[in-house]
Amino acid sequence: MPRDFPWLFPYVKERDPDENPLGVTVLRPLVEARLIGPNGREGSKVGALVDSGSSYTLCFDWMAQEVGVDPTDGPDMLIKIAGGLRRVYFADVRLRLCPPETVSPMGGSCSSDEGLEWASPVGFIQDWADPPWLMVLGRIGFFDRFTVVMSRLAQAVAIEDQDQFDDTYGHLIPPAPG
Amino acid sequence: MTLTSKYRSETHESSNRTALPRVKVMRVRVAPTAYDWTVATGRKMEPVDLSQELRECAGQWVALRGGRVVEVRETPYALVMALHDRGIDDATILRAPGPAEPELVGFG
Repeated sequence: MPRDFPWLFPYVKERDPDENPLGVTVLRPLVEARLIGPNGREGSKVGALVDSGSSYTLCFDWMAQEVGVDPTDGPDMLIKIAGGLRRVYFADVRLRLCPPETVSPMGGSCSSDEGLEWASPVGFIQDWADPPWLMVLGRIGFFDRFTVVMSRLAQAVAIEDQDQFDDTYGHLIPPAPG
Repeated sequence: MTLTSKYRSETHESSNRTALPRVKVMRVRVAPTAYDWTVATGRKMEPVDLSQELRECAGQWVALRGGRVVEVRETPYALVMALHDRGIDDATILRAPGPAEPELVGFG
């Protein structure tokens, strides 16, 4: 059974300050996740970028094949990603978020008993030879499933359940009419 | 005054100002913020430091387990095949950016 919220993930340090002209340490809000196919087949555990700037949750196309999904049966659209225009096919799959213990240091089984699973449409990016990330957790498919708080100051991303946003900020939001 | 009208007012005023002389900045470094989270809270969250591992495998796909690189390949597909062949299913797959590669600041 997955552990209770919140799940706190330290940022991942990608580059040292001396590799950056501004002297900035490059830190990423990175978690680990797997795709789960409709037949229960588990995909590889990949580093997944938590990206509030991405409208959708996206994966590299062969990850669909790995879990037995043919996304070309689903709806598709052209999306501008990392400066390029790419065809993305969407399919309903399950995602499994691995608990923080597997991230620090990277490694751990991320079994169904440990991870959090949910169903979501995921876009599979076609014909991209060398994508920077295999999985991007975006606003649909991740930010609509969890309350996500990212802090560069604390160098961590906290993931809470859906109702946490209302618990924290609900008093600032007017009641719905009717 | 609403925020919108205030903004318009300031924008209008600024457009009438004389342009400031351009100053050549010799050195730009991002200083630590005035607010130091660790000092303020007494807590420190250490990031997962993969910079050395990624630097050593620059431009390739790496599988990490327990903070160590267990496999490296040029494509993610080849890496997954290599992991399958070795029976490794608990490593995490990442791409190591090349040293001269522009930093990715936005994906979506």
